[in-house]
Amino acid sequence: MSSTSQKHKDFVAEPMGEKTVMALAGIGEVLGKRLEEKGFDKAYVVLGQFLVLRKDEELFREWLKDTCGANTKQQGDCYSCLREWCDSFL
Amino acid sequence: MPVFVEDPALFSKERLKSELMAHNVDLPPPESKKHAYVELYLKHVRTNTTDFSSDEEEDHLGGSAEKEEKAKMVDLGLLTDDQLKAKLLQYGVKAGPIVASTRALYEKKLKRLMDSSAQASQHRVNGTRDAGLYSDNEEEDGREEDEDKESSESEQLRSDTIARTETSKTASRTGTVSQSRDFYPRCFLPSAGFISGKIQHKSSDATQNESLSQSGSPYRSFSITQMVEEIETRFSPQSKQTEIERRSGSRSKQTVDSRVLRDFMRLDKDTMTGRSLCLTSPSSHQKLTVTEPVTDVLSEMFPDTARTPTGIYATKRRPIKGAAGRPVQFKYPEMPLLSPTSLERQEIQQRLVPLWVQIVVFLLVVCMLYLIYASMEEPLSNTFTDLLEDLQEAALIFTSED
Repeated sequence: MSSTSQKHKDFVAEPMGEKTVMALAGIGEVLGKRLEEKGFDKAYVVLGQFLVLRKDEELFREWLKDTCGANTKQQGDCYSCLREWCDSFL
Repeated sequence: MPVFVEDPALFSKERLKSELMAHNVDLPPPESKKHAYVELYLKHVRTNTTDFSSDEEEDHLGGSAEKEEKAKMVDLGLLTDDQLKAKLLQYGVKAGPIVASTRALYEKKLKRLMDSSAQASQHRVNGTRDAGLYSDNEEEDGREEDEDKESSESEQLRSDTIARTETSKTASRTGTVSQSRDFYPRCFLPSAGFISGKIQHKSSDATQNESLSQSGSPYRSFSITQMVEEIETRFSPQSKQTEIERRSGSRSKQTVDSRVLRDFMRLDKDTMTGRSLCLTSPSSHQKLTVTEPVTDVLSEMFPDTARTPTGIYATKRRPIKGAAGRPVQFKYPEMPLLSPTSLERQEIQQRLVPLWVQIVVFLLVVCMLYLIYASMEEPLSNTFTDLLEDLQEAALIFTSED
């Protein structure tokens, strides 16, 4: 990912606290709604899934696609966003 | 698929269990031994799939693999979490926790892995599976050792002396980095140098003794070639004729006096082992010493080439310098270890005054200046204040004029 979006920067800049899934880079209105329907209402729940998949990019992308139908760019945004957050806050 | 060609006896009990479950076979009671599982496996699973013979493999592989594939696809959902994890491990995937939210993903992944490995196994040729087990390095090393051995053996055969086996032994022993540097020059350069040196100082005993004293291990190889010659002149009838021919051709031969030759033989005694000397009769000694200057002339003409009587150069294979992981610095003894720029820098640094001298001089100068300043009777007046005073004076004069 050569350039990062503003959303990405905002998310990575601070602890996620109680942010919703829509604060995640790559997760917009539509995808956020779908994720909330499946129980992933907070960003930390998605983080939990990310961690339980051992931060594996392939598996996480796959999971995101299956869960909310994210396209490749959205998957990549979300993955790199969470990974960078983990790098700085875990 | 590699799974099917393996011996079921080698499987773990866990795996046998999972395989049996995959084929809808009733499991034996849990406390039964492994061979019970193996029997069941052979009975049910192996009869479903085909027995592999190397000839039929190509035909059956696709079909049986597919069949197996289908069975597995159905059963993936039935596997327990642990089994699923074990299966993933078989494919080299270290699975994380398999929980409700991740299980589907891992199942999918396993399926994909199975697909790809099935495809790969269809393209696979006999025996290529283990290609990764053999590294090039091992082979290389082995070959090198072999060559060492070979060369030493052949040399041993040629010379058939104890001395040679000694040197070759040391050669094969030291074949690697550090000492080989000593060894190769020993083989070629010193012998040539020795030969030419001998010709130059042929008449004088002192230099002969000098070379005698020098004749340590470096000149052993020279004595070996000499010995080979000796043996050959002893055994071949034509050698005398060629020797005579060579003698007529040589110019330095006439100057040889027998005392020097005897000295030379003493050198032989020192450099060679006693055995070869015992073998050689006095006449052959004489013969040899007569031929010796001839080869000396030849090597004088071609100082760079190592001469052998047959013209065949049985030399130890010289390694490519710096190849096969040998550090270059050991292979080029004359090569400077430092780069040209750093050498230059060193030269410059040698010419420069050392740092501590510079500092001392600086401190001395500072002290001197301070002393001068302190010993001055009236302190220096600041130029700026002078200037200001001048201005004030000028202003006063100006106002007073007004």
